[in-house]
This record gives sequence, structure tokens and C-alpha cells, in this order.
Amino acid sequence: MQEPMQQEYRTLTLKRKVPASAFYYAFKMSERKSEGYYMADLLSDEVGKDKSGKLYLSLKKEKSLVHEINAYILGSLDEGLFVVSGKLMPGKTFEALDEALWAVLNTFKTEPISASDLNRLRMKGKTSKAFQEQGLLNRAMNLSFFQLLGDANGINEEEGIYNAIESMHLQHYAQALFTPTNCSRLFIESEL
Amino acid sequence: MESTLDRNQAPAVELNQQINYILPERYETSHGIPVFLMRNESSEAVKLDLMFDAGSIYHDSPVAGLTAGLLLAGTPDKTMAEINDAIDDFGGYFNASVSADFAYLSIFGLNEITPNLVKLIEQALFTASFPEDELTQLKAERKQNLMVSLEKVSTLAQRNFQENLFKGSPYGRVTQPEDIDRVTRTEIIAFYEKHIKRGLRKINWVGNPTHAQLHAVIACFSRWENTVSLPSVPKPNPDNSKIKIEKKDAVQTGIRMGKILFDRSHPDYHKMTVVNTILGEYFGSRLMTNIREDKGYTYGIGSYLGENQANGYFVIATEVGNEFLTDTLVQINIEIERLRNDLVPEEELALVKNYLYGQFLRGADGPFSMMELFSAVEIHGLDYSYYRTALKTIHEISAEEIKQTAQQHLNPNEMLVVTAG
Repeated sequence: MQEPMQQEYRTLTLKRKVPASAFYYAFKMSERKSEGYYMADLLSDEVGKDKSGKLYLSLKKEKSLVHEINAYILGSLDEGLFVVSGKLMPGKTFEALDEALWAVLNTFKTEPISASDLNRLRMKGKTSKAFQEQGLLNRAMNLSFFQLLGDANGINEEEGIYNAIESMHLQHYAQALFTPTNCSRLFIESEL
Repeated sequence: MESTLDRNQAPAVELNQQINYILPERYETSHGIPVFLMRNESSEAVKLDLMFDAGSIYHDSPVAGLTAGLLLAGTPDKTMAEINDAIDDFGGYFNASVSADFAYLSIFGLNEITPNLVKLIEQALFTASFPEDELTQLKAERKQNLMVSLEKVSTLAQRNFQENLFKGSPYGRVTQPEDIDRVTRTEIIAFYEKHIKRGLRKINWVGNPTHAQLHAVIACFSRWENTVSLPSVPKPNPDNSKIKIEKKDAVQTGIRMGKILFDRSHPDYHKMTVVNTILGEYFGSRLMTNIREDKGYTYGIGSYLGENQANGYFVIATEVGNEFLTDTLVQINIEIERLRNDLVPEEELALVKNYLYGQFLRGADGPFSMMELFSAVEIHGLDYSYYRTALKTIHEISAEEIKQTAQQHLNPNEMLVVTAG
């Protein structure tokens, strides 16, 4: 049983005595067994993994709006969440952040990711996957997880799924994912 | 396979105390810097750790951390973004960090691209230019992190504990936000020249290179040296008092309690490992059972044996609701005294021994873990016999020896107690 489709942009701002102002944008994303899951995974790396992520480059390096920012996916079997979260630079406003953040997300809807960026994502994905399979415990856990999904051999098929994803697929996926009606936004404003 | 499993029966417990410790291959760069290679034959995953004598003890302001953070931040002909892009093109990752003693640069990738990736990173490292604008940004980021962190009672207690436990030694230095502001690019470059460029201590490499790849990577480091002489660090003069830090509006109180002990080369170290585990090192430990499970004062409480290059120490750490502070300290003392006065029941001792065997086994799972085990003893001039002795001690230790060890090394009156809240 899945939740009914979200129909509205859900926003909430809280004021709390916390040391920094934080923001969370959560987008509903595909379940584990669908191709969409793999697209969301690649997209999260491109949008916000480490210092090469587009959000980091634009909102932190270029505009100094945020102190930290990341994009990542949450989900085990059912539909999950694509999350963008971070902390505001002191003195910057949520309004400025919101505008700059949607501007970056919107570029993924209007422009396809370049061939070289896509190649980087695949290469980095290959490295990450090699590291996830280190040690007997991890291998056993991964095999069990794929067996739970229906087929232990699925673990051998993932690279093929990632490699079949093209820029156009990611652009289409971004168009469905990064829409306000698919998003829940939480701001926590520091009162200190 | 499935037909042989009877799911109504729990699998039998079999504990293997015989761990096959694998030695890495040892090579040297042309300047004699050791390169340890642990073969990873079942995977393409590669990790290279470059370790430098460039920890925070070598400078009295926070220069070491900022230097490490800017190692790949630009060269005369490449910006930080260009370096990052080039690393990304190889599917590589890197991570720089700093401890009291060392700076580390870890490189992650796959066998096929290792020589190219290492060549790229070595070049960026050797010609690092520490651009002023990157320094300004990193300082702002570090300062903001520190300010946020200073709002936490755990940080306040931890910092004060460190200051007082290692009083009079560089290990007791803590950074203030304004110290970060004062660091200059000139200081960073001088530190880099002395402690990074001429401070490469060793390289730990997990991977499966061909002969050509192996020698290409080692050749990359032919221009690196180590001329850092280890500092003669004054012995800390710990303050064994009770220190209370006030933090307005805090709902919790951070507690740190402990003493200078000894490092892993001491004959009682393995016995203390068992004592420490019973007291506070695992989820079913006495501190957790009493203060979390029974009293509900905290989400977690633990005790640890820590060490740096000059000292070993023991610490109990927790955060509790303000109203539970007094009784938490009473209960911690009761648990320590119980270890010092009563024999550990047989069943509990058997459980802790099994837990520790499991920890040792898990710690040896795969070449990456094995390399960490090797490096952790190698850096102290020890070898794998350390782990064999540990397993033997755990196997043989009696309840009486545990009591004696606790009596000798865990006297609450010798401990510094810091509370912040």
C-alpha cells in the first residue's frame, strides 16, 4: 500500500533555539525496484554529492548562501525521499536560499546533463559500488537484500541498469521529481 | 542450500579465535618512505592513505587542520574545481583529515586508473598553492562549524576534559573561533613546506596493482621526503579536580570523566580492554544497563581507551538530563567500585569474551580492515603479535585478574571529572 500522490507544496517554518538555521526539501521518489530509483540515485550525486555537486558549487562556492548543503536519497523498498538539506550561512535569508535552490533544480528539468558529467557519474558509481562490496559481512548483507527484493542475482545486474541511463532519462525524471507539488519543505530558524 | 536450514533452530554459535593476520608487502620510495601494500585480490577497489607528520600538535594555532583542508584546493595552473573535476573523471574520491599527530590524505578509486589518479593528486599536492580565497572560505566554514559545536554541552565537556587531562602538553590545546581568524596564508605555506612536503611518514595501499602499476605509483612519490623529527612532548600534568561549566538554557549536561592511563604497548593494556568492555564499551555494558536501561537518564553512555603518540587515556562519556546529573555520577562510581571489589559473574565474563572475539574477527574482515589493523600497530612500532596476545589474554583472563586490574588502574579518586550544562 502506497500513500496517495501528493497534490500540494507543503511548507512549514519553525523557530527554535538551535545553533544554526536548517532547511530540508523532501521530494517523493520511486520505489527500490523501479528504474526511477537508479535515476534518483544518479541525480542525487549530480545535484548534491560532495564538493562536485551543483548545489554546493552554486549555493556555497558561488553565492555563499549556505554553510553546508547535500542531496541524498532515503528509501529501502517502498517509495522513498530525495532530500536536499543543509544549513544557512549566518545573515542569509531562507527567501534567498529558496530562490537559488529552485533555480539550480530547475536547470536539471530544462537542460540535459552533459555527456562528460554523465560519464563522471558512472565512473564514480562504479567506484562506490566496488567499495560497498568490501568484506564478507557487506557481501552477505547485499546478497540477502537482493534476495529480499526477489533475486539475489540482481546484485550483478545493477551496473547494467546504471549504464543504460542516458541524460534524457535523467532530465525526464527531474521534471517529475522537482515540482513543488511533489515537495515538502521544512525551515528551522535559529532564535539564538 | 535452503533445504538444509531448519529455521526453527537458532544456528549454533561457533567462535573462531584463530585469525589469519596477513602481512602487507613492503616497498620504499627512493627517499626511503615506506609503502605498505595489502593485496585485494577479489575486488577492483583501491585505497591509498598518505600519512604525514602534520598533526595539530605541531602548531599552536589551528594551522594543521586548515592546511589539510586545502591540500587539493589549487595549484598555480589549476583551480580547486578543475582538480575536483579531474579526480571525478577518473571516478576517484579523496578525503583529507587531521588528528593530533598526523594529517591523512585518503584516495579512493579502482585498480585500472590508480597510476593516473595518483599522478594527478601527487602533482596537485606537490604544487599546492593555497589560494587566498579558498582559505577565506574554509576559515569561515570552520569557524561556523566550531561556533555551532560550542553550543553543544558534549563539545564543551569534551574540550574542557582534553584541556585539563593534557594540561601542559600540546595535546591539551583547543581552538577558539578567533584563533581561526588569525591564521595566515604564510603560516599555512610554511607548515605545508615543513610538515607535508617534507613530512610524508608512510603510504598504506590496499589494491591489486600489476608490476608496472606498482612501480609507477611508487615512482610518483620519489620527490617526497620526511625530515620531521618527532617533538619531545612534555608529559601532561592532569588536573584531577571536579570542573563544572555553566551553559545557560541547556537541557542536558555533558559528562567526561577519566585519567591518563597507558598505551597499547603496556603489559596491562589487554586486561584493561576486558575491564573497559565490561564497564562501558558495548551495548550490554554495566554503565549502559544501569544508567540507560534501568534509570533512563541517558540515550547512551560509554567508556573508551584512547591514545595518541604520547599518551594513553581512559574516559567515560555521556550526556544526561540536567536533573539526573548528581545520581549519574553516583551510579558511575558504584559501577567502577563494583568492578574493583566484586568478581565478575561467570556468565557475564563468558559473554564479554565472546563479544570481544567477535569484534576481533569483524575487525579482520577483508583487506581494508586488515590494513587498518596492521597500520594501527605498525605506527606504534608493534606487529601482529599484539592481536595474538590480545586474544590470548582475553581467553585466559580470570574474574580475579579483572578485579585486580580495575583496582590498580581505575581509582575514581584519580580521575578528572568535567560536567557542562
